Amino acid sequence: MGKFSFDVDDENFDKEVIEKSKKVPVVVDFWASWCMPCLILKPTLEKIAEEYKGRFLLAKANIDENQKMSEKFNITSVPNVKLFINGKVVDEFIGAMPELKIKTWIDEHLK
Amino acid sequence: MKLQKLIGMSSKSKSKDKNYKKSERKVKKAKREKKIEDKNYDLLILGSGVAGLSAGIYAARYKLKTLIIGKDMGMAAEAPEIENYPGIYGVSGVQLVKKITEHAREMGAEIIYDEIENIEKIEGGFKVKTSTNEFFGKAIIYALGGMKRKLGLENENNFIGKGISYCATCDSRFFKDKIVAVLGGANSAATTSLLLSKYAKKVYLIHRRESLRADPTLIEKLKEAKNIEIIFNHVVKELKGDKRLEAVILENVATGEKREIKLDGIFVEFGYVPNSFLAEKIGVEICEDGRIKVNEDMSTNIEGFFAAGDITSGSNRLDQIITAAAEGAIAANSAYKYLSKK
Repeated sequence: MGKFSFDVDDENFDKEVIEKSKKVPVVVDFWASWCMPCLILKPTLEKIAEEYKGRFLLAKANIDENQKMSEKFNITSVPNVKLFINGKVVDEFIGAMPELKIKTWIDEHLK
Repeated sequence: MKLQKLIGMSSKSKSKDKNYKKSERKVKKAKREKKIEDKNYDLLILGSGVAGLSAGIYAARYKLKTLIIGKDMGMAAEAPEIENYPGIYGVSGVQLVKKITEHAREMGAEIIYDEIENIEKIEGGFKVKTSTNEFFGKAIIYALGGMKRKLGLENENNFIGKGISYCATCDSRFFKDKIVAVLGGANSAATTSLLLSKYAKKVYLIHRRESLRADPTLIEKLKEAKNIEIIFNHVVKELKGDKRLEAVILENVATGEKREIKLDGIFVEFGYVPNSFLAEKIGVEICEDGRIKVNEDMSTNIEGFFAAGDITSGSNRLDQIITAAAEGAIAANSAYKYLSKK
């Protein structure tokens, strides 16, 4: 577990994602252990989170163990990555993306 | 404060004497050279699916300095269950490919996940540019497989993740008690339908021809499944829905008659388009169907450039995990022989 990435669950989602996103952007990675692209994407996101040193936080949400939040955010495909700013989803992407594309995507919102 | 610091640093750097600058340049040059040296490999394997990984295992055992570059785990990782790879009956594609990935790493092959942007033929080998780096290899094994073929309908992209899926193992569990359709007629369409039948209330398997191309064992299982209905001679002509996919319009290919089916999702299993674009760019010979033309030893018309897996014309075009692994092994063996002669 990196300094800037952490697991979230149904219980602490509001505190760890919604509230924190009012101070710093929070990227939520909705993933599952049986999803191949999720397994590729997760370490890439973790690496980027560490490189960005807190300019955004990475919250990892296992959708199998946390049904409430996947229903709340209408997750029907994984990996599903949503960016929260000021408590709201401002952007998202579905499927694995290469490192550079993810960085470009994040940079757009960190300007 | 920060600005003052910067100005201070800048004036300090200006005052450095010539000798210091010279030594600094030397250090930088050495670092640069070391960096380039670190990016030099005997063998670059493009593709981290079964073919690429198997080639990596063999190449590493031949003590070739090997780097595998890929962006995913390949097609095999999308298989819900594997029944035809000797000795590992019943595991999922992800489980198998993860094992092979660990195996390749254990043998000594390096693996990175990145997007490959370009290949260039240079003196003594090849230069491969990825989205974040450049690597040099004396030989290449090209095992990039294919990209999933899309439906090709105008508003298709609007429904990706909102009802349209191209990965059953990723998304099937989201369709518990829902109505879904699988489009296609080969093995992947059959296995996807069978997987979905475990979760969904109803599965339509829609195929444009009048019979399936899937293996007889799979067809038998499809017939046994109570919630799978096969619709032959039909294609999807239209996608309908507001925020999510809600229905599709089907057209009978023989009569042109149209009908609407209400559903919650569709899974597109139309096979793949060979990912041979980068190879073609440097002059590798491509077959009419987009695959790389290979010889028996997996060599191509370009010296030092080998290919393996679903991307090739080899193995009688039988795209299976076992043939991908075999082609990877042959390609690595041929690359080893090629490099030994150099």
